[in-house]
Amino acid sequence: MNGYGGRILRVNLTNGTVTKEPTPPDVARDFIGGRGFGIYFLLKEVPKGADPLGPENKLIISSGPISGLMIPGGGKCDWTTKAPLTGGYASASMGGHFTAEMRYAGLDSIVLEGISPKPVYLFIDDDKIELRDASDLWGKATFAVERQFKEKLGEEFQVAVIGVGGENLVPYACINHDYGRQAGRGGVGAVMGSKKVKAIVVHGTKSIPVADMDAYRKAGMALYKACKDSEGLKDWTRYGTTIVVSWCDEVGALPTRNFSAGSFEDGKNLYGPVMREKIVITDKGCFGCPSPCGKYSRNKKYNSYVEGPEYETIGLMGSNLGIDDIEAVAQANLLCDDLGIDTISAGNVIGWAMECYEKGIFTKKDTGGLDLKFGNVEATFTLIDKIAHREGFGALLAEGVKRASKKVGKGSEKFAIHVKGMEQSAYATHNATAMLLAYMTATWARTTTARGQSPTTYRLAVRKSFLKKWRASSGCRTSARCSTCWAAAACSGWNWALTATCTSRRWRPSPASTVPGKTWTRSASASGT
Amino acid sequence: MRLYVDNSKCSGCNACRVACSLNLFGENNPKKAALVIEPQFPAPGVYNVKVCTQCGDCAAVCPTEAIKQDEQGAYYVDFAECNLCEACVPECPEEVMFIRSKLADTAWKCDLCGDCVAVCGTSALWIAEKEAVAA
Repeated sequence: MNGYGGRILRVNLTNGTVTKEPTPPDVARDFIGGRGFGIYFLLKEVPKGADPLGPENKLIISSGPISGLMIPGGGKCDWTTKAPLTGGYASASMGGHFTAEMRYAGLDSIVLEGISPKPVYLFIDDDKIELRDASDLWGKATFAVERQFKEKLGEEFQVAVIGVGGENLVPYACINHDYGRQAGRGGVGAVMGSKKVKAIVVHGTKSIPVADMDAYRKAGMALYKACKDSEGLKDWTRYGTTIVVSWCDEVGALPTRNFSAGSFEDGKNLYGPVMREKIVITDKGCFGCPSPCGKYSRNKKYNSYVEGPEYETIGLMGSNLGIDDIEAVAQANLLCDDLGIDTISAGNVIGWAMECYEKGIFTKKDTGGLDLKFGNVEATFTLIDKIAHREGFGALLAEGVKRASKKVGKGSEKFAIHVKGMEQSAYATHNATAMLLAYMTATWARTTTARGQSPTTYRLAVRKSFLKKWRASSGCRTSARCSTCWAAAACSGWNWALTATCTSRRWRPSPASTVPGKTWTRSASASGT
Repeated sequence: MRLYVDNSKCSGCNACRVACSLNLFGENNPKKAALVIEPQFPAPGVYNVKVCTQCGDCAAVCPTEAIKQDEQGAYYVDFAECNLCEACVPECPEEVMFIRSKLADTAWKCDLCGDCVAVCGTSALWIAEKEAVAA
């Protein structure tokens, strides 16, 4: 089928069989791919009331129709499942090269079903597809496992792997790929862990057919040219998502000390240009991306390498914990990646624990001797490790902020920042109102990729007529556009790129002109929440 | 003329390799590209890109004279005359002369079409006269 790999791979882990079925053309037409395929299979095949970590749940990994083609932005891979964190639907989006490689192996979706009796990994090399024993990999850190696979199989194999967090079913465990790309939110890593699948490795050498080769090549070349020529993308490419830090700090949307304030007095140490200067060594792009937002860093202070940190990690592992050292944030990021837990949820729940500690709800007796004051870097590192291993105080935090606060009580529910059980991502929404609307109406709780990204969300400086058009239709249209984007497994960054190509001005959030509110703190705000 | 690369600018996106396979074979398949990206991660965190320098060593050993030179100095494979003898592959100092019988029934190499340069978003690739290294 033109534009598609053509096959859905079903892996029955309970009895160890793998089968391929043709991608139904009507499903491709109606649901496009990516998140659309994920939802289609999830709703059709997972029964109501299924335990997210039980055999009835499925993990559906999907590419989209532009993955692997010469079209910018097709580097996203969608991981859909019933989420252990919320009990609802989750659809985590992962960048990198996995999605393209799936398509070169002829696969549009991989559906993991049942539960394996022992740890396994899924091996895919074109038509050679096997479940192999992974007992020796169980318990190992993600980077070590990925390195091991690449050394054994070659750099052209793409690897997705869970860490200790996923094995221990932490409900916000992530899936790691390409030394720093994650399917992060909702606990997709825990679902993979519950199925006893340590890793998926994929390699393909097939060509992806397209209907009109000449028109496609012409359109592809034009898109690359537009992105390269765009003034708007220059800052985006240089600083990646960290370009948002300064804007959020200035307008009061940067989560600070467990969302108790919207700007951080030492926030300047976390700004994109500071990070670029201090630790970034190279840009690291997803497949086919002309404006790579991934930043790869050499952390001299901790003698380590890490991809990122991205904006949301800076917001939640940095300002939200009162930490103003970008190198410490990068190290926290690395620990989360290596142990396989989501930096957003982990940062949020540690922030909640710190506020509990400062308010006297927790004492050192509860925290296992940790002095959980805001800004304590070492305590943060220790907690990340304890969460992933579900050890001591970490076991409580590993439940997620909603369940943990319910257990603890004592008023701590009031500053547990989540929607439907999912920890809020890094926007203090008092001064990011469009984001608030998106969080409230998104298909799956408070996560960046769930909501419609748009100029109205960030109030970008774009051409007025363009902005008017967007504002007029508000969330509906942006959500629709974004849903289509995710169904195509396309990057929302590229969505911005398209926007940026519509304007002659540089891509830059415009704080002064648009946001009336100033900085605020929770105690000063009327609602007190 | 030849293709040059600045490894420090490469972000490993592989757009160049898809563009290359589209030019050589009319297919979306970076495994059939004439340039190679070797990611070196987690350390030291760089992409090592291998490109053809148009040195002509492959053409010199080709027994069927299937590797020809065009007017801009690029050596290209005449698919009709290649007999897959593999004499050229070990001669290539950059390891960018390819024969993979599973993928194609001809050898292939860079023919300096420039499509990789056109899609490279970080300007890591460029074509210039030999010896002139600066972009």
